[in-house]
Amino acid sequence: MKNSLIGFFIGLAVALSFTLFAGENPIHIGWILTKSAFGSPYDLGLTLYYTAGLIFTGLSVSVAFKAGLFNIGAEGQLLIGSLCATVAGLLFPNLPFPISVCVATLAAILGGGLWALFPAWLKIYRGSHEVIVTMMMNLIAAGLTSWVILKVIPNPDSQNPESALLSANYIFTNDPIKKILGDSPASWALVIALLCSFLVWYFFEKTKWGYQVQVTGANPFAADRAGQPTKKLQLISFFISGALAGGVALVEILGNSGQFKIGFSPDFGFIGIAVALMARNNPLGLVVSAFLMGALHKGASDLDFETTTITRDFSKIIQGTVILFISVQGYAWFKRKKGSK
Amino acid sequence: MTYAVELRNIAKFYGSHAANENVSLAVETGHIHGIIGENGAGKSTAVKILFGLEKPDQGEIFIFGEKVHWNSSDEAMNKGLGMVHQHFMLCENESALENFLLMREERNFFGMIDRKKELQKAEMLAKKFGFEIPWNEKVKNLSVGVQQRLEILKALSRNSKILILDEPTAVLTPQEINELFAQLRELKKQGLTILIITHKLKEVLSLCDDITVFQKGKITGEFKSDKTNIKELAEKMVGREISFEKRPLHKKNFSNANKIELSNLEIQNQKNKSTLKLKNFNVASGEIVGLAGVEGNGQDLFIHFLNRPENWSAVQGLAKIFGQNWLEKNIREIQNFPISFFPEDRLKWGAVSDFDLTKNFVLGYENKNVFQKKSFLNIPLMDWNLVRQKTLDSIKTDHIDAQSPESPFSSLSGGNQQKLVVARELFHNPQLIIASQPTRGVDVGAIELIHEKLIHLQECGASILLISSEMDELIKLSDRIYVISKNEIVDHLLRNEFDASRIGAAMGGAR
Repeated sequence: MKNSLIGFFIGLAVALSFTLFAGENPIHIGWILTKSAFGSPYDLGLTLYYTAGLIFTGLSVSVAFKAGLFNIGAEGQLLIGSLCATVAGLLFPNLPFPISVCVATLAAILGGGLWALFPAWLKIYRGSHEVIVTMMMNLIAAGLTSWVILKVIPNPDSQNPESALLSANYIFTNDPIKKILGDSPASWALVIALLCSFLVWYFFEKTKWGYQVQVTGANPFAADRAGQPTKKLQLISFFISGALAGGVALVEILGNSGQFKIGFSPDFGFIGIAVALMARNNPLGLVVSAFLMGALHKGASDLDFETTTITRDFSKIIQGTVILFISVQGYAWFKRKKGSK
Repeated sequence: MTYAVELRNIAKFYGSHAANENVSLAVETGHIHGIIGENGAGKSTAVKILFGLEKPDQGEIFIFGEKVHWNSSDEAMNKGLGMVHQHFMLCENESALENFLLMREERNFFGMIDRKKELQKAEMLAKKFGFEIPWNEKVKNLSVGVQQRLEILKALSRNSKILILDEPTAVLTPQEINELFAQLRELKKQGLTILIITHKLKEVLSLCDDITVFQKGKITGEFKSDKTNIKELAEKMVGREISFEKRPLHKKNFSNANKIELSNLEIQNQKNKSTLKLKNFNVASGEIVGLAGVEGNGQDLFIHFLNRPENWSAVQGLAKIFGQNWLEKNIREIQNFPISFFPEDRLKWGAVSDFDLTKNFVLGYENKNVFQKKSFLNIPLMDWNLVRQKTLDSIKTDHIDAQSPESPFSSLSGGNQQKLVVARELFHNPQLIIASQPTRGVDVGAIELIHEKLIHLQECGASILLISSEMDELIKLSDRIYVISKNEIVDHLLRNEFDASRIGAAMGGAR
């Protein structure tokens, strides 16, 4: 895990040196980046908001990966999960507080999980490649959510592309995390995210099923000979993977805005792949990599306001470069793992 | 006189491990020279260096007295070396001729291959060495023996003077081996120098003029084959005396009930419709029964039937195992029977090479209560501390060369991997053992240990079905041998009838 952060930091150094081309001092930019990620309780709150979302999508990618499948579809699954949570909230506005949140959470889990189940079924029983199918389903999910939000449950009081607001029963009013962090978008969902990464770790390290999923992922032939229900295990893993992506609904819909704003996700699903790769799919290590990527995203986005030369597009280049270096290191790790067979 | 091949003081290191050290080897022109040694003894490395596939860290190579320095195997081929690899380098979906053309570089004026001319050349070459090859047939339709002949012709196609064969007999029936040897002797008569790598001692003695023995990266003996014997070679190969006979049995008291009892059985796979004719086949308690056959003649189907009967249905006959109708069972129920399987290919079917030894020690047995502890909500939790302890015990009692139970499975040598797999399969006191290729790719020390374990199990009343393509192993261990060919049991021999040529003929399909 320690070594696996090398790619991140080398990537960051290279990305910052690019700012020389814009006539900036890389050290100065690095300082602004750090300041806007951790400078005030509110800034830290935003960083932690991204962290929570990335923990969910990172876990989603790594669970599928352990079962030998590649889930590129976390973005679509989180959109559908969030949509389901929103719809559930709008359908039952009068449920009392904790129950309301539980119902919305259940809807998010089912939405994300079932959205993932379809490509998994196609892969396992029909042989279609899950990468292609999940990617296409991301586009369908984006279109479908936009249509439902704009045509079925739009916000009547606003011209913005967003859904109607959930009732006050769905909002945790005295959230201690929000209080500490200056009423920022971070919320109790961060605690749930941390709990989930512990549960996923426990599942893989301690339970029989976790062991079987890992055998299936690492050597399906041996798993089959050992009598493990490989297809069922892969199907369930992909459902869990989608359900975890759906957990982003807690971070955004229930924990932050109380409604579905189209375009709320800064590509959580895709950055989640880098997060999982950086942590070598270790569910606990993933918390660290999600935090680093969250801070990078928050810091890099702010460069747009803080400087005149580093534009929004330039901040994308910075993030992209870091992800590239993480991927290169991850690829080398993956090759070594395969090579040892 | 000049030698065809001479290696002087070759050394090759992988990290701190010396794959070859001080290897000096001279091959006389026109001789058949055998190189023998256990797996990992360095014989393959030496030959790879000779053929330009690996670069030596030290030492010199001479071909017909001329010092050479390879940058690639292409250069070696241009100097008259040809090699037939253990795993054939053939494109299965292309014709024999097209595979042959892969080795040729001649193009006509337009940069195209003149197929007619090339076919003539191929036929001439085949005629010269007395080979018959159906040039327009796709390689996948050719028998293994013909594929090997094609490989030899490929190796000879650039006017080669020196032919290298890596484990050429591993995939052949005894009859095909005899044919191959006759052909090699013919090539020798025509002036070729042949280097043959093998671990089968009988074969080198009958075929070769000179023999070089490798052990742990070094040469431990050089012999003229008419002045040595199997025992001496084996000792040089292993470094101590080994036995080729089954030791006398001291059977304990047990009933002679049949563990496997198939009567007039013919089964069909429900998915791919392949059928298997097992006829009358039984294995009693305290008995080792061999199943001889060239690989891919239905042994894998038989194992699949024993392991996954839910995928099979009976065309006719009855299958009783442990006295119960096996065709009504499924894998879940089977795991409750004291039956265990040694996988024929441990890295594919029997282990996860990325995982550590502890995690490999429960593979297939994770449902057993011994290795589990129940938590609240009845979630089955693995008792990893216990598994680790048992793994450690096995490492100690079976002398498995591993640093700790946390070492990755892939870091072990083939013999140690197999010892761990065997320890795992025998941990739960099985009464029926399906041992498929139990000693493939395994050093002599591990072979002895595994054979001893099987004999001990036999003495205690377990039944062992030994599926092997090693004739020596079958004849040493078995009480009876069934022969399988083309998905059908074609012969059955009692111990006093054992006869390698009869078994070989049956394996080849003759009745």
